Amino acid sequence: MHPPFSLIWFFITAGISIGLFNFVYFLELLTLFGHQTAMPRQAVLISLATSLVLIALGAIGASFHLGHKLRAWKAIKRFHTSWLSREAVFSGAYGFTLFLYALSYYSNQNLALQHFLGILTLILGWLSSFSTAMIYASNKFVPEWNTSLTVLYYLNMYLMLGASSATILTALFAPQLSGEFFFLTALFLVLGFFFRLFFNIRQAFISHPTLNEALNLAHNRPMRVIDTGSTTNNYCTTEFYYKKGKELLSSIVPLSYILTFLIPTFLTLYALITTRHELIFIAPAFAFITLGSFLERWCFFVEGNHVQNLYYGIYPSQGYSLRKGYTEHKKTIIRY
Amino acid sequence: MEIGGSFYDRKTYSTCYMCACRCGIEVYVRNNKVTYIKGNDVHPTNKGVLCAKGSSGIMKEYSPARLKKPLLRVGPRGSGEFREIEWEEALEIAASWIEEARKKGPQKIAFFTGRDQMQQINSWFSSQVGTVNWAAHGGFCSVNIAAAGLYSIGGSFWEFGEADFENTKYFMLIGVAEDHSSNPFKLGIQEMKRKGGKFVVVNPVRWGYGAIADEWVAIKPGTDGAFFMGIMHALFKYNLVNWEFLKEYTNAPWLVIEAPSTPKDGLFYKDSEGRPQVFDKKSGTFKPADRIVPEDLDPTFIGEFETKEGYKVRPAFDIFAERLVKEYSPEQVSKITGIEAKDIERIAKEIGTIALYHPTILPIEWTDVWGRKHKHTIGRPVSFHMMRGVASHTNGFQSARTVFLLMMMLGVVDVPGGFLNKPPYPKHIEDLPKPFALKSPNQIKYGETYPGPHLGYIQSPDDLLVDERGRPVRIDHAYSWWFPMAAHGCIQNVIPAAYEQDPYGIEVLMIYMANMAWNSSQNIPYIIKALTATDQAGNYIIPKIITIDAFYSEQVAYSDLVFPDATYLEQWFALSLLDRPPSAVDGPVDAIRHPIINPKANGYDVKGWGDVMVELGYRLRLPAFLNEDGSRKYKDFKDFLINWQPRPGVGALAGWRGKNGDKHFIGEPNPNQLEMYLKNKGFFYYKLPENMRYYRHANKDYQEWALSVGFIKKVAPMVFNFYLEPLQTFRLAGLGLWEGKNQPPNDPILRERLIKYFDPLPFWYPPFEEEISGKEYPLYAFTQRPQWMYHSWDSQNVWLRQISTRNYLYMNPKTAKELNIEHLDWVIVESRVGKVKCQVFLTNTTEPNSVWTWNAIGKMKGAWGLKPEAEEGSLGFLLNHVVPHSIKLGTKEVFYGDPITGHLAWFDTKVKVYKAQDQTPETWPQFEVKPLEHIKEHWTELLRYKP
Amino acid sequence: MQLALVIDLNTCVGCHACATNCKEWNTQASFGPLSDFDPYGKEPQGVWYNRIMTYEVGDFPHTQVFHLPKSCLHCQDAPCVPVCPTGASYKREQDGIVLVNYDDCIGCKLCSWSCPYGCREFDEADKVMKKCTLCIDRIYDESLPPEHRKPACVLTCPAKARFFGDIEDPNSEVYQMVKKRNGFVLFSDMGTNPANHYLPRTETDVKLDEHILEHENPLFLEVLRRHHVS
Ligand SMILES: Nc1nc2c(c(=O)[nH]1)N[C@H]1C(S)=C(S)[C@@H](COP(=O)(O)OP(=O)(O)OC[C@H]3O[C@@H](n4cnc5c(=O)[nH]c(N)nc54)[C@H](O)[C@@H]3O)O[C@H]1N2
Ligand SMILES: Nc1nc2c(c(=O)[nH]1)N[C@H]1C(S)=C(S)[C@@H](COP(=O)(O)OP(=O)(O)OC[C@H]3O[C@@H](n4cnc5c(=O)[nH]c(N)nc54)[C@H](O)[C@@H]3O)O[C@H]1N2
Ligand code: SF4
Ligand code: SF4
Ligand code: SF4
Ligand code: SF4
Ligand code: SF4
Ligand SMILES: [Mo]
Repeated sequence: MHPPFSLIWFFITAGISIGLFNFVYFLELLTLFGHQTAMPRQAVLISLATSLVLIALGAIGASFHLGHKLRAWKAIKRFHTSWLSREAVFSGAYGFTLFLYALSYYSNQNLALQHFLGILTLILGWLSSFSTAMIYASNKFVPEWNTSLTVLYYLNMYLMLGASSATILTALFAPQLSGEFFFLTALFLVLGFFFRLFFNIRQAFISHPTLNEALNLAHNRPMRVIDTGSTTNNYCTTEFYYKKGKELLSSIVPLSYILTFLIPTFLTLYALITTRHELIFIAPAFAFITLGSFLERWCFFVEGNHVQNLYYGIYPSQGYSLRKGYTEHKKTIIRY
Repeated sequence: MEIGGSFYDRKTYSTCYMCACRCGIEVYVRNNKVTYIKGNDVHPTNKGVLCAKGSSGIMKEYSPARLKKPLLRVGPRGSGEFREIEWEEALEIAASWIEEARKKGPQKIAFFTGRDQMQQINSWFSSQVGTVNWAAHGGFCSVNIAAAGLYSIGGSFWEFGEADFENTKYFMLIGVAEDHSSNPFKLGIQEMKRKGGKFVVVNPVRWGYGAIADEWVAIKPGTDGAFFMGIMHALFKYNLVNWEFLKEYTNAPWLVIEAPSTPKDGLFYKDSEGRPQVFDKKSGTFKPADRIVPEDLDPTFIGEFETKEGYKVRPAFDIFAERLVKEYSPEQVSKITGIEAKDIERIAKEIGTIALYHPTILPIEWTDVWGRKHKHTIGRPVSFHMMRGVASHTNGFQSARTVFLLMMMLGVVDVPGGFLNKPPYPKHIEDLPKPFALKSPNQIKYGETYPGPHLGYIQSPDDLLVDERGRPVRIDHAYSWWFPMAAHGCIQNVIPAAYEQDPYGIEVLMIYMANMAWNSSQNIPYIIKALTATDQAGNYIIPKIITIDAFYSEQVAYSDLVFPDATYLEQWFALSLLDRPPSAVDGPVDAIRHPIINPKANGYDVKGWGDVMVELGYRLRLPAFLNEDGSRKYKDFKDFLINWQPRPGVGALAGWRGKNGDKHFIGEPNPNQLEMYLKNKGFFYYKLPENMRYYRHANKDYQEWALSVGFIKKVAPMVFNFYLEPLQTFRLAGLGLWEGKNQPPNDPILRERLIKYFDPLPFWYPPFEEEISGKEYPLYAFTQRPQWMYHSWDSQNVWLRQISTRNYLYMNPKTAKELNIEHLDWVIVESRVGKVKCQVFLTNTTEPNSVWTWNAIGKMKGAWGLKPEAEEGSLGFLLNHVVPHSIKLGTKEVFYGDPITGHLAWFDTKVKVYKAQDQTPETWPQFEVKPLEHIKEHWTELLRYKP
Repeated sequence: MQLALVIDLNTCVGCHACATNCKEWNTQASFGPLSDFDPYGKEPQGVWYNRIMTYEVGDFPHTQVFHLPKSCLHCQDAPCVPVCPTGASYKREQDGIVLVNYDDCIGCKLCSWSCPYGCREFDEADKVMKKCTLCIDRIYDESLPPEHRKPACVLTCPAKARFFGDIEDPNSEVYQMVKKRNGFVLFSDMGTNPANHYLPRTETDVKLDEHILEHENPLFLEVLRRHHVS
């Protein structure tokens, strides 16, 4: 698949926004149960502002993916069937309730209201991320994506982005919490690493459909594309296949592992082991995570092989399977 | 959004010209722009369907490649530097150039026409100018098949005839990728397939039609002649021969004299009245062949006799049978063709049993020319169509003859289920026109008209166009000793001959609708040299080139003066019965085109060639363009189409003649004739009654009618030439035994050529290139027509070029493996005359001795309204660069072509292919011309056509 | 009712006529124009509703070739419809045609991601998704003569390989063809249930009646004898 920049952008921005809010509000929530976990007001306000700005930037960025931005509101119409519609609704609602929550927090409204809005935002944030993940995971025609791993991994990435950004906040404003947060970051990094690894390993085991299946013809002999009906590219060969990307993939994948997981894990673990829960470790770790995630998302798209590519002969080849097809030995004998 | 709504304010009917198939179209127009073109449902050619090209006609109309105004060259030839001039100036220049040349001798003007659909009118115009040097495109296209057919059965394929798809049960398509007629073929093949018929494709490549073939015969190129001899061997062996047909309608039983070293050798044995003889088994005597039917003779086919004069005579069939038996057993043929012997036998049995034992019997009564009444019409449901795979080899004429003989042996000519002629064909072979036999190039003087047809079917050396020393009279060497039966002329030789001034130099070369500077010539680097070479004084050796074209083609770029033609949607035109009409098997059809769009309103200052011709004719004061008082005879081409009469009562169009339009075929001009055509949806179709539709070579009612409308000259059996005696006259000439007035020059190589190839019975010999290129160049290289493009002229079409902006060299993976070539490698294709670099595509659809590519997709950069960076110029390539244009015979360079007809043998080309050292993804060689200024203005980034 | 095309691979010669006629009709009709980018340049790229591909099967000399015209298959369980967030991509109740409403389409391309056949093409100029409409603007146009109320590609196909009709109506030509000729669909196991069907290639063989063959044509033997051929 051709990686759309706008969607990668949305992933990062929404990821940080929702992830960060998730942790910051979670700390607020814990106070209800008597824990003294809340961050300083200033830190909360910064985090809310960050989350708000990011989700807004994300929405604006994602709209660049749309042909008709002004009609984007129409995307709510198919809520009952479309994960994209749900994503639009939930992420919009998340942004809105986040704003209300921030307002109520800022103006010190009564706690019930605050927490009502907070919980709502938390749920909407998760629904929004789940919906986004489901857009990919539910697509049967890109077998690399079509797995619950995609969702789990996606949510974990949000947590990873959230935890690492929250760690920065704690390092700055609530050092007493940063130990836990360094730990959380490391945890989600390691989980993320394994999810990603499984995601990659799985790719080697997916049984891809074959051209014979796509054409539903002659399952007993190899088939090859000899003419695609156009010698230049068209929408189908550019949207679903990214030749340059495929060529770069083998170098970008390791790079994204290194940037997203290895370096940040090393930094956070080092901080944990040496108990130096300092900005100097988490800030670069966060930067690497963000940059790495950009590349990782890019890979996610490029790795996806859409089955329509079979018709163009640009799909990983799997030979052919011995199955009964339609053209074999169907002979009309004419007798004169 | 709104769905529906009217898409036109005007609907009219015309004839498509995205190719030469002449399909009927319905054209929908809104605001002087075409919105939609649909096939004309009631047109007999295409019955409502349209091909890929036809549906893209709109994009031809609005192509940036279109010429806007007359052009005069200002830079050197080939630079692409022109000045736009007004029509008045253009016509004046052309008239003065032609006039000057005429004064030096009318033969100094050479007018050659390519995808021409008004050959009779163009030939007639050339006659008015006085030049012998006119021909259309057949020399590089179809003459081997056309001539083999006309000389054998008085008809041929395409406009001449086609398979009876309605009734045939076995259709064999030989060496065809697309051909004319595109749509009728597809309609026909599906019809016969649906009825359960078997469709066999004989072709080194399986693609296009091959996809739906029931059997693919993967033949080695250049060996079809052998394959069909093998088939005939098996037919004879298993007695699957239609003896009745051979006896009544062909000269197979006629007796041939075997008297080596005498002038009678190989000629028919005739009685004192000149009647060819057969040996009648019943009476045991020689009898005139024309008594076979009336006296119910039983002529022998096999045997040897002695005549009272002491000649040894044998039936023509006997000589042929000996050849079949000795040289063409399936095992022998298998070695040549690469087709297994058992398959050859089986195919022969299949067609033989179907033709002979499973006839189609139609309840149609008919009467033959001898007066016998037949209760039924008996059909033989086996049919064939062949084209350039057979034609484009130096053995093409004889190979094509094998198929016509096969058709005779099965009796499938003009019978239900077999091959059917289209009126005005068939014709009596002996009555076919002959070219006027000019005896020296400057025999016609300034002001005289050329007295006869330019082209036709000669019968002996005495009909040649050679001077007293045996040199060619025509610039293209047609009807010379080297290409005696060049029935269509040899357009491909014009540029080389004019450059080499052999036999003489010319002054003005006029090219109408042919891309001679590019895809229609061989060895393009050489052709470009010929077009741009200068003498010591710096003048071009071909001094003046006038081109009539609608687009900025390579040919235009190499011209001095260019007339911008109107498109097919913008001019009056007749698809005439005098020419190659859209006739159907059930009766003659002719049709028109008319101006549907006004080009002026769209900014094009163009004129149809017809209008230009009428104007030039008047300015040159050619007699036929003037009234007796010297005033102008024809206002314009429309007026010409209505009033021109080459013979009294006969005009360009046959329908609705006579003052009131109440006469067909023959009648005075009708001033409202064209309107009547329009009212009838653009065409005239005269459907013949059932009893006149078959066996027209011997059908009395048909022939009487055909005589009455001037299609034929007599009512008499048309005897098919199983044995083609005229060829023997050339052989005799080669042996020094010809008793006529023209004798070949004393050149042993030429004489040997006449002796070897002019065999009156077909045989197979390897393509010439086999001997010269031999094992050093092991592969055959050829082209195929893409179904979605017509030669070079569709490359400018935005829609069609999206299907292919470039081409590949297709090759069998086994061949590639031996050559260490991998899929998509860049390779060099090298022949004995040149090299091309291109990209390989491996496919199992291609026989291992062959490599091929799509025809005419490669372009000169900057031509055709395409941006210079377009892939056509850098990834597309032209195979023509490696096609030889001549062959060295002894010390003489002779134009490369079939020794009988001169047909350019494109597919003889033999090459070696190897991996290119430089794998940069670019073809080589590349050529470039400057795009015209106005074209650049059309280079939009986004095209959204919605009138 | 489910309108659909049935395409006969046994007569399709891959001529591209249906593709260009589709382009020609649709570019000027209700769902047009179909934009062409860089039309005269290096990478001409346009929107098409119908494309023709060619495949080979097997190794020489047992090679089979077939052409595959591919336009929207108007799937009965069209996966491209539910994913559309706006409802611009919809399947008509009354005849099963899958359409895009250009006024609602926001150009998110998700529907094209959800089509396993590659049958939707995005028009970068209009910024909306486009696809075969089954010529809805022809088949219901009462100003056209009844015999012309068919998809443009069907009317133009020179090999008569394309048929149009109600695939659910047992009396329709298309239904019966699919039944009789063992019609099949592309990617049958993708859960899409395509409405368009293809009719497979069949090979016609001639059964030789050997008994009528004369094994030794006396004339043939005579020639052999006379010329001493063994
Ligand atoms: N390698 C190879 N070369 C071949 C062949 C092959 O098989 N292989 N085939 C050969 C054969 S059979 C043929 S017939 C030739 C065909 O080749 P050509 O007869 O040369 O056909 P085109 O290339 O289409 O060129 C025709 C010219 O007509 C112009 N034209 C188009 N429309 C109009 C119009 O309306 N009016 C006028 N006045 N001009 C117009 C075009 O711009 C173009 O310059 O190619 C030959 N060349
Ligand atoms: N779409 C389209 N239609 C056209 C044209 C066009 O340019 N485009 N051009 C028109 C013109 S001018 C012409 S002349 C006709 C020509 O129409 P075709 O006769 O179809 O000409 P080609 O495409 O050259 O096809 C030649 C075929 O012969 C095969 N072949 C090559 N060598 C041999 C051989 O030795 N033996 C056999 N049996 N086969 C062989 C090739 O594989 C190829 O399939 O088409 C006409 N129709
Ligand atoms: S075959 Fe196609 S291009 Fe040729 S005349 Fe017919 S519709 Fe036009
Ligand atoms: S028009 Fe008909 S024959 Fe041609 S590609 Fe389309 S379906 Fe096949
Ligand atoms: S073919 Fe593709 S676009 Fe058409 S209905 Fe099926 S899934 Fe949707
Ligand atoms: S591109 Fe248009 S039609 Fe397709 S899913 Fe998005 S909004 Fe719906
Ligand atoms: S039905 Fe209409 S829109 Fe669909 S492919 Fe055919 S012509 Fe194109
Ligand atoms: Mo031709």
